Amino acid sequence: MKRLYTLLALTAMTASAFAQTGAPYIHDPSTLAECDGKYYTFGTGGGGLISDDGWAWHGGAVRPGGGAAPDVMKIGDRYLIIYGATGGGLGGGHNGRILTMWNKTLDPKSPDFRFSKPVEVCSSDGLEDQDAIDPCLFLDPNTGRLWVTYGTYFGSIRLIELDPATGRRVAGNKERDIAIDCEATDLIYRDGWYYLLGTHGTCCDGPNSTYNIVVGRSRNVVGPYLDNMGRDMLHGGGRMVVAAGDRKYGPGHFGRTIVDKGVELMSCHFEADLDRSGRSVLGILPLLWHNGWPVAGKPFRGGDYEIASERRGYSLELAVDFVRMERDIEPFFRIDPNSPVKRLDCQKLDEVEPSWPKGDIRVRCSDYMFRPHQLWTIMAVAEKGGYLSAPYFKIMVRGTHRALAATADKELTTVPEYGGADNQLWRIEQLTDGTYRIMPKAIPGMKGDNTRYCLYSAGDSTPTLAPYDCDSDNSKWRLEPVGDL
Amino acid sequence: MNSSLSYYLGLLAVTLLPTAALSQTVSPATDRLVMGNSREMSVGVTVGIAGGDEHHLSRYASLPGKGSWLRYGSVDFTPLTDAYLALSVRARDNAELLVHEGSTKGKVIARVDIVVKGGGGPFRRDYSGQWMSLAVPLLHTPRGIADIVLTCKDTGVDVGWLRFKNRPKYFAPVTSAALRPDDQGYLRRWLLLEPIRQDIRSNVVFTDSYLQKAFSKEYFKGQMTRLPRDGQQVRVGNQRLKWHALDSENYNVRLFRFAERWGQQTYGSLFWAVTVIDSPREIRGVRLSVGSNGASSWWLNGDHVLTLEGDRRMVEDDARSGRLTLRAGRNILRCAVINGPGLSDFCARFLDDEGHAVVEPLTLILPKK
Repeated sequence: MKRLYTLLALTAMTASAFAQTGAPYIHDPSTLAECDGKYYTFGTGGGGLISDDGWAWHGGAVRPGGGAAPDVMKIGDRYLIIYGATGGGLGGGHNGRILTMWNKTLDPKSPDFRFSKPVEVCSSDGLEDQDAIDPCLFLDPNTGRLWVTYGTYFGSIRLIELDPATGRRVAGNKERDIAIDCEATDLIYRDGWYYLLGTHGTCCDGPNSTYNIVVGRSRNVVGPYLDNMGRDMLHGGGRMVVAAGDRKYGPGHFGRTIVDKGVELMSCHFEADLDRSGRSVLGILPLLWHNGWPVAGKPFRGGDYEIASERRGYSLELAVDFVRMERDIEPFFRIDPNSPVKRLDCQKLDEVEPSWPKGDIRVRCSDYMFRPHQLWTIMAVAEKGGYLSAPYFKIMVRGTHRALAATADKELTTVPEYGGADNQLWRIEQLTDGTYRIMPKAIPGMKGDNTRYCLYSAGDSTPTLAPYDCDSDNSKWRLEPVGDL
Repeated sequence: MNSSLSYYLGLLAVTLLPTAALSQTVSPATDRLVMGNSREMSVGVTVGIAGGDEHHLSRYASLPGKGSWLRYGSVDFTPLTDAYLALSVRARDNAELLVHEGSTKGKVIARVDIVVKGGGGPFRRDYSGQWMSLAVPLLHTPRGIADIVLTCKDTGVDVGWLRFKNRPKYFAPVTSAALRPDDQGYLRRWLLLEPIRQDIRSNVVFTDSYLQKAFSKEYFKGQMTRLPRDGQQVRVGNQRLKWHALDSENYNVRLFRFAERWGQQTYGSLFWAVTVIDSPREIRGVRLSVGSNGASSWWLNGDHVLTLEGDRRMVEDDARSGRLTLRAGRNILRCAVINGPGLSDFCARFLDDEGHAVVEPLTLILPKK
């Protein structure tokens, strides 16, 4: 009965819990930007979305100039915005212009909110092998130089250089062709490699849009950008980063947000979200790195899990008596191979729960035996908001209302009945290596939301709360689906 | 001296200088021809200075309206091979600019439609009062050295610079007897038929059954059996189309640019292409490796070997045939590429089973006229 309730509750929350909530409707979103504690993204046509927490988004961002596919970046103490004045072939003609402008703030309600006069930085004449739309901004962390990639399927993707102090084209800079057959490009850097992301396939065709995002990389910002087969992006090369899935079609317009060391996100739009009337929606997904290649993770949805430490692989469990399974088992030296085999049941919750203490129960880690005291149901809590990429979750012993909670002395406990307090809510984020960081929303006695202390292995058997350290496996956990038992 | 003072001094200098004192050197048409340096202007035409990065600090001419003109000379058109006109203009409303050879009544080199207000939906635009870079095809190319004369209609136009740009060379006519595949194995020599008009609004239609129907239709006699000749004409419906023997300057054959130069339409087109591969011996176990924009089908020696369906973009080694045998002697490779809106092109090569390009010992030959 309790299992059925869980299942029903999970399905009921489908539309709201597993994707950005509110009204996240946008096309060709810019990279996400943060300004005074809020998040912003700008889109085609003008305007854009704002979020107070990164999970619930609503309209209200302001960007004049119309046109398409803007990008935004904070440089120093102000924001540089770049956009294409035209819509490419779809908007009529291949005569494109790309412009930049500055603003001290992205908050339209601020008295400092004022865009500078837009300045054209590049264009396409309409007859050459190029269409100047879909720009992106990239500040090279090694050199401090500011680069822009732009272009679409009509001809090549080009690279130009701007002055980061002014947002204007560097005098004498010549365009370079770096790719073909894609649009909505983005440049990022990691560990000695420059990565060129490009969107392939068709946009703007609802659930028939084949839009997908591919990548090539280079040791040099000017290219050549090669994919995993050594194929130049100037010959159409590219390795898949993200395609359709999870009832959403057509990811396009990649942007990267680094939340913390080892915690990265990608933003995009999905052409059609089947849970939202097939509308074009903002997408925010974990960004994983496999062997030097970026790949999108799946949004964490919750379900029944083993929570295993990356340190040793022991599993989080209630500190209760291990109850032996008494079964009539043939010893190995007396097995009759001709006798039929039977399916044995697992240990059930009602076999062991009556022996558990009634109040708070501490947790520890131990050998995983898929026993009831080691199985957790992680469930999104729709009404408690979220953070970039996900809502808050409650972590409960499967089949019960017993919930994991953070204590004031930065340890862990479980309370018999989930009550919705902030120390019983958990922020679950996938790290770039595919493991997870699990962080309480609040720690009793500490002001505000906690963004420092996470579930941490103090010892193989001893979970605690300690500052997140991306270089230590102690900060990392694997969430293994329980599956059919 | 601060910048606004120097601006006004510059403006003063420009209006006081007699225009006849400006140099009368011959400028190549491929140079940036600054209209503020025109030799002669009708009454009412003024010169100003444009600020801003993309257009540089340059002298522009302001044509107030119908009846006004300017003459820029002299321009040497000999460097032009296959050119179009790029220029920077500004207008308060939609306008038209004509570029003539020699005089206001001279042959029209280019007609420039200046659309400052247009588009719809999220792409509605209003560029009134803003500088724009435009490009237009040439209706006529003067020979040798000539003056250019600009006129406009009722709405005045500011003109910054003109520049005649040669299009990149995409194709060269076949002159040599034989051509090897390039060092990556790409086949660059083809007989291309000027494209057959197709009614295609969107590229979403190219399913396997659509292509099967489109490519199995007989458009002209012998389309799957005869080897065409350079210059040969065929009739398809009400279109008269010619075969061209061409060497591509690039690894990919840019059908869109072929259509732009020789075809009757670029979008909504079906292209037929044929090449002959001469091999001194039988070679087994090779695969045809292809990319195409849009969908395409391929036949080797009369057998269908590969189809790329859907709204494709050209990607190197996108699809490969099964293992094929190249005969000793002549092999005929034929393909059909179909596209709606957008660029069209293809690239093709043979790869062995390890993925290495087959270069030696193949040669591409096309029979003489």
